[in-house]
Amino acid sequence: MTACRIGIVGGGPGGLLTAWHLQQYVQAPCEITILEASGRLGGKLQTLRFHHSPIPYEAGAAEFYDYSVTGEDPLKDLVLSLGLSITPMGGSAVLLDGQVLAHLDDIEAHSGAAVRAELEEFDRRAADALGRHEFFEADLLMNHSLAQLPGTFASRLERLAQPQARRFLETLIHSDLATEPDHTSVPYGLHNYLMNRPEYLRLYSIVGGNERLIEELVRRLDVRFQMRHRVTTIEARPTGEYTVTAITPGPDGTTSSCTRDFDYVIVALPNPQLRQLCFVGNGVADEVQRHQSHHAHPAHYLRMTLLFERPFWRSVLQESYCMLDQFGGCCLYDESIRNPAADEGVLGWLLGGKAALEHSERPDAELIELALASLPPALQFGTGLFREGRVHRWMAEVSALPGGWKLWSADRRHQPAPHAAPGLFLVGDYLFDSTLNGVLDSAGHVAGWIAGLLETTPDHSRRTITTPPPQQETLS
Amino acid sequence: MTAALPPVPWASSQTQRLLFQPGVTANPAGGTILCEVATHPPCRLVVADAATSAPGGTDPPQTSLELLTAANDGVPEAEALQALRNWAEQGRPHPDPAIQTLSLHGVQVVWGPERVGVAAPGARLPLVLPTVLEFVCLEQALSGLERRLARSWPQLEEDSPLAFDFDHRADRRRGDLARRFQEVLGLRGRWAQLQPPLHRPLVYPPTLASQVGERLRERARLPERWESLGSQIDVFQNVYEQCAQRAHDWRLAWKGHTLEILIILLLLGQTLLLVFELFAGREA
Repeated sequence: MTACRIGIVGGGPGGLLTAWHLQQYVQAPCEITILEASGRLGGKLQTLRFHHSPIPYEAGAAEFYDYSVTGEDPLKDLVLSLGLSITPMGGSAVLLDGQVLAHLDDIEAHSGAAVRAELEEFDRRAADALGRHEFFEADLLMNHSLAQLPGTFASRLERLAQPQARRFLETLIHSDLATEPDHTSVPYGLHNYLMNRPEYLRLYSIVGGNERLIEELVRRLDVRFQMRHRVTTIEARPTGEYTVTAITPGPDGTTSSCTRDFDYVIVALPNPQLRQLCFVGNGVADEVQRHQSHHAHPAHYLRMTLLFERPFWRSVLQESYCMLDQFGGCCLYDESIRNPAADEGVLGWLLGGKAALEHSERPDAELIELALASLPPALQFGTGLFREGRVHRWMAEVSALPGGWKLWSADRRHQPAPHAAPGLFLVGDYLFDSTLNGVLDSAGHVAGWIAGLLETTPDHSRRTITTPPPQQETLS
Repeated sequence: MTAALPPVPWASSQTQRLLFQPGVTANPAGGTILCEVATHPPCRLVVADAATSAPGGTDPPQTSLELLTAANDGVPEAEALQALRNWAEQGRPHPDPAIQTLSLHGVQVVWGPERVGVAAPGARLPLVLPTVLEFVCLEQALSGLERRLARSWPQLEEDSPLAFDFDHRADRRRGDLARRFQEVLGLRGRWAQLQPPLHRPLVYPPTLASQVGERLRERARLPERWESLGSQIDVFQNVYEQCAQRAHDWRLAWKGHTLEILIILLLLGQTLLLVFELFAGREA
């Protein structure tokens, strides 16, 4: 019995979590290879340090969602089982017109009793529309609730009579959506609103940096890592094998290509990057193209992180983060609150959607100036304490869930060409709810599937390739 | 206001002496009730005036508290917090680890075993004060249970051997053990009644009062202390349940033994009579 060869394209959370799941599920001998185009693993989980200070900050995903208040949370269980410590994160304040609105009493004082009443009514209706169970079952949410709640989230916001209430809500959830309300379905918009309710969801981060999850996973993986291997072509051969071609940089600036054969190939890349791969085989390219187009709803993030001599904002902002009415509504993180021993302060601006895309073309220095200028008047004195700034662009790295969009079945989402390339699988957060929890679900789905296939057909090289039917737009 | 209270930090402040009445059936002194936790019987915070005196009878002892309320409009946060702390620490060691502080969205709260100070913008003081008083009431109720349980540990250690072995000397303590078992069950009841107000769901969208209340509960670790108290009550309950079981077993065994001895004595008497009759018959 020969060992099954499994190739994973992409060394981000999707690829690593798939490898982790495969190690857990597959009983048959197998060789897992991860091909990563860059020189680092972890993708959107990236904890960096400043030049002027060793204080860490999150360049990518800043927090994890804690669903354990409602039900099982496999990601949190995994984090804890890896021996990582977590720290809760919280924030309720919205900085509107330079004022901190931390609670309903502030909102009433700032905008009036009518706005307060409308926000309370919106909250009640949102909780009525999406119960905790529906919220917890993200797939259920996107399947069933779509039929009940048609239209975009913008149409829901337009029903608000008070413009200030709408502005408050848009500011509150814009950075979580990573897109505009008119590109978001009602359930997903409500989902992002309701995640502020502590009985629905809590937030946490990993002590020492979120990238520690990657480090601990890598330490425990018995896989072959091929770094700086940019995969260009995946060919589905008639024998049921897959030939993967990758380009690697040579020592003298040249590049060379190498090929490897696998029994299964799992592509764990952000959706737009699928277009950069060449799929060869009987109609595979068309199938993947159809899959890619169906899921092509790019959303964007831009993160600006600034180091200051001290956390001068603590008298005004006392929580892990708040929302700021600048850049179309952005999240302002107090990154240094996770490092209470540090003297310096770190503020992180997370821009989402259109604002992130528009600002991504600007040079770093200009963005840092804009970030400093966006601080409310009460905190402008702190701009003189600025020491260093970093900008990280995550364009089209996440997905929006637009209104009216139909969700395919879980199998259909993960196997783009079930007839022409049954051993080709896709993994990604965009196949679930664009979160790290979604990546874990996606990775677990594919790994469980492959483990099942290896149980039932241990002679993996004899899988037959069939001709695809003419039209397979079967939707769930 | 009384002359014995410490001086207040700024002019707009007001001080009151309060009485915490844990589990009283009535409001014997007739003072104004500021806060009431709906246990049975309820725990109350009442304003103590000159006419107020500690009730007699079987009601638990009352705790006296000093409450300072102040409008902090225009006072910098750090200054307000320090002033409250100074007030709370007067006559106590400095710094006093028993005194804790909270500063959130313009509200400052200082609390310790005997004094509670609240400062907030004048317009918001009435919104926040009920929440702080409810917290004080809950904290006092929980502290009272903790103190009662802490005092009972030596007695428990003395009684715990009886959970294993019970004899005729221990039988004299049966009434005391039964009373202590009832006390533990009473404590368990009061502990259980504190759960709903302590584990109230977090409010969303939050109000200033709800945020302050949540922070105070977190800071004072009320949920954790409540759970810890439950574990301790479990120990007491287990020991006294075992004592009750042993006492009951011993009683049954004692009755059984007495009966056996009686039967043996009767059989012995009957045997003696039979022997006597036998010899008497031969001689005749």
